[in-house]
Amino acid sequence: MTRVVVTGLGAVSPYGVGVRALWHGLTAGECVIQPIGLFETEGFRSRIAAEVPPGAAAALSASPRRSRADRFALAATREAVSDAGLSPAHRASAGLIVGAVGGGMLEAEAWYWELHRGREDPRRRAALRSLLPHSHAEVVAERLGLGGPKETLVMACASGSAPLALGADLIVDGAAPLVLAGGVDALTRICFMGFNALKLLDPNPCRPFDRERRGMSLGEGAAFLVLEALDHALARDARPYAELLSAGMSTDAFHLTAPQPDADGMIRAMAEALARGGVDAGDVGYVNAHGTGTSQNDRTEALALTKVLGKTGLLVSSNKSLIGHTMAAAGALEAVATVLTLRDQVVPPTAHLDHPDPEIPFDCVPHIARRASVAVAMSNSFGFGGQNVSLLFRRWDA
Amino acid sequence: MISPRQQRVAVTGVGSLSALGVGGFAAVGEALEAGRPALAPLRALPVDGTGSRLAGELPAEVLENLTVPAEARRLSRVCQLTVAACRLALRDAAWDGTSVGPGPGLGVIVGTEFGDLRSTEDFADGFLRRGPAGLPALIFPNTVMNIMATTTAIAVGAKGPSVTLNQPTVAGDLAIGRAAAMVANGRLSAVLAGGVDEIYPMLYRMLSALCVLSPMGGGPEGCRPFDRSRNGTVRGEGATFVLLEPLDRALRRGATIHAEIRGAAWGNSPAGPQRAPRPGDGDGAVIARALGQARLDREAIGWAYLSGTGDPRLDDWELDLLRAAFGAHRPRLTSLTPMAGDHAGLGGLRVAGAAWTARTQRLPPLASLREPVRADYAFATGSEPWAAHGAGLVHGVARGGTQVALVVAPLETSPS
Repeated sequence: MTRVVVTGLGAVSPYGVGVRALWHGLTAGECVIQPIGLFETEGFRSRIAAEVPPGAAAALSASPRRSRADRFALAATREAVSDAGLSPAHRASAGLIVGAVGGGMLEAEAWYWELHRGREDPRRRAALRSLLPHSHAEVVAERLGLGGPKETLVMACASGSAPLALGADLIVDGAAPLVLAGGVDALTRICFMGFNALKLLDPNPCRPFDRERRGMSLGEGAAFLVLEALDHALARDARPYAELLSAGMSTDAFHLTAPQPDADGMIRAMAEALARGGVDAGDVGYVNAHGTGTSQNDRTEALALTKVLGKTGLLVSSNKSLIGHTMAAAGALEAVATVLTLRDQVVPPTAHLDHPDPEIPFDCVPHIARRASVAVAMSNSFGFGGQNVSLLFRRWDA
Repeated sequence: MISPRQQRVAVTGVGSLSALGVGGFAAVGEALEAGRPALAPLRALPVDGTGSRLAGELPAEVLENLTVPAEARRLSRVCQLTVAACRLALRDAAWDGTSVGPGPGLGVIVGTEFGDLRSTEDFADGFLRRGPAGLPALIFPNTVMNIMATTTAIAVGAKGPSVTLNQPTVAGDLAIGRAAAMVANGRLSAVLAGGVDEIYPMLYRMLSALCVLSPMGGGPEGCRPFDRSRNGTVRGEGATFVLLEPLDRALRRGATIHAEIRGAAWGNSPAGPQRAPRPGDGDGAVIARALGQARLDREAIGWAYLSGTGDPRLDDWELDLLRAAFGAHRPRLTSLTPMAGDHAGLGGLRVAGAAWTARTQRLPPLASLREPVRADYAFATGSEPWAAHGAGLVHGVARGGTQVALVVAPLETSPS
C-alpha cells in the first residue's frame, strides 16, 4: 500500500499571506473577525467576518485583474510548491485538486449589481470569464505548470478537505506521484446574504462549543498541501511534515441545511477514516473540529466524536473561532493547522469559549494554545447537504 | 484511474433526459439508431439581440411524470433533471434498496459546468429588488453547485460519498471517470455518475455575448465538428447518468451488464482559463494510461466517441491527441455534440452511447460532417450507423486543457 505524506504547505488567511502568519495567529489565539469592509452590509443582522487584510491582498503578486479568489489560490499554491521544493519536472507530473464554492462571484456580483441598477460598465463583463469555480484550477495549473490530473470539487463547506481525500486516492491508485490539493474562497455578497437570511450568523464573533453560541462567522482564504507518495518524497530528499493516513467520506442524505440529529453520516465518515488508516480510536489525540458555532453542528459533531472516539478528555478545538468559516478554504486551512499541530505538538485554542457547553464532553482548549503530545490527529469538515469528510494525519518521526 | 489489481466496474443502468429523448438504455439506443440531430431554434426564451439562436433544448413537458409533486414544488429545474435521470438509471438497472449491500454505500458524482446558476440569479434579484427582506432564504443552498448531488442523494437515499465536479465540456465524462475509480478502489459500493446542465435566458445571452457559441467569426450557425465549415459549438441541456457497480456484485444480483469501464484516466495540458491548448501541447499519455489500465493494445480500440464540439481549436487539439496515442491506427470516430448540443450531460450520453455500441456493435454517424478538416482520420460519415467492433474510447477535451479518456468494452471481451 502506497503511503502518502505531506511535503509542502501554503496558505492565505485572515492573518495575511503565508503559513507562518497563519500558524502564529492561530497559536496566539488572535481572533480576526471584524466588521466587513469588502462590500456594504447595511441592514443585515450580522455584519462581521474575517477578511484577508487589505494590505496583504493588495500585495499578492498576481495581476489585480484576476479575481480575488484566483489571487488567493495562486499565492497559496506558489508557497506550497516552493515549500516542497518541487522542480519544474516534478510539477509537470503533479495533479491538482481544488475545492471551491464561490469562484469569481465577488467580481461578477459587482457587474450584476451595476447591471441591475442600469449602470453596467461593459469592461466588468470580463469578470464573467472567471466566475465559475474551475477558473482557479486553470489559473494555477497554467501559472505553475502542473500537468497531471486536474479537478475542481464543489462540496459546500467540505470542499477544502475532500481534495485531500481524493488527491491521496490519485496517488495510491498510481495516477500521479504527487498532488497539490486544497481549497479557496473569497467572501461574496451571495454567501454573506445567504447565511444571514438563514439566521446562521452570530452578530458577534462565533463561539464554538460555548453554551451561549449563536451561530457562525464567515471568513476567506486559501490553503494547499503538497501530497506525495512516500517513496517519491524520500527519493528526492523531501522532508515530510506528516503522513496523511486516511480519509472517510459520507453523505447524510437527510436535509439540505441541517445535520442528521443522530450524527449517522458524521459517524460513518470518522469510522471509515479510522478503519482505512488502521488506527484505534484511542490513538487519536486531537481533533481539529468542524466547530462552526451553530447550535446544531457543534452538538451533532460532539455526539459523533463521543460515539466514535469515546473519550471525554479528548483535545478538540475550532480554528473557526479565530478566522471564521472560510468556506471552501476551511478544510484545507484546518488541515494545515492539524499538520502543524503534529509537527510542533501545539494545539491552537478555541476563542470566546467562556461557558463550555456541558453537552460537549471534551477539552476544547479555551483561549490559550496548549502543548500536548499528539501522534494522530483528525480534521473534520461537514457541508450543506450532509457532505462529511474526516481526515486522519500521523506525526512524522524522521 | 482503475488499477488492474482493483475491482472491475460495470455499467448496469442508464438514465437520460436530453434533446434526443428521455429514458434508459433502450431509449438512448433508439435515439442513436435514428440518428436525428435535435438542434433547433430556441423556443423557451427570446433570443433577439443575440448572435446565436440554436440549442439542443428539452421539451417544456420533459419532467411530467418524472417527478413527484413535492419535489416539483421544492426543487429547482436542474435539480429535478438530475433526480429524474438518476431514478431512470436505477430503474434501468433494476436496482432496489437491497442492491447496495454492505460497504460505503451508493454514491452520487455529478459533473456540471454551470450548476444552478438560475437560482443564484433569483437569489440576488430578491435582494436587489427588496433589500435584505427580499432574500429567499430557502434557495440559498441552490447557489452552491453541490445542490444537484445532495438533493439527488436525499431523493434516492444515497449515503456514500457525493461529489460535484465543475468543468467545461467534459464534466460528465470526468465525473464518470472519477466514479469508476472510486468503485474500483472500494471507496464506493456503487455510484450514480454523469452530468447535468440547463439553458436559461441570462446564461444563453451571456455565452452568446462572450462569443463562445456558433457562429464564432461568421458563417452559418451550427455544430459541425471536424468539418471545414465549423465555427463554434451549440449549447444543449439535460442530464444523463449511469449506474456503475463492481462487476462481480452486479453479476451476483443478476443485473444486465451494458458494458464494462476498463480504463479511466484524465490529465491536463495547462492552457489557462477559457483557452484551448496550443497545437502540439499534450501527448498520447492520457489515452495510453487508460489503455494500460484496460490491458488493451491501441489496435483493440475500434471506435471512439469524441467531445468534438465544433470549436476549431479544441477539435484540432483533440485530433492531435488521438494521433499521438493511436499513430497509424484509425478507430472509427463520432461525436454526439451535433445531435444534442454541448452540456455536461453529454459526457453521460457519450458513455451511455459507448455502452450501446459495445453491446450492439452499432456506432451513430457524424452526420454533420461534409468536408473533414483532416483526411487521415476515419470519421463515421454519412447518415447511417456504422458497424463497430470490440472495445471503444470515450474521449473529451475542454478549454483550460482538461482531457479525459475512458475505455468502454463489451463484457465478453474482458479478461477473466
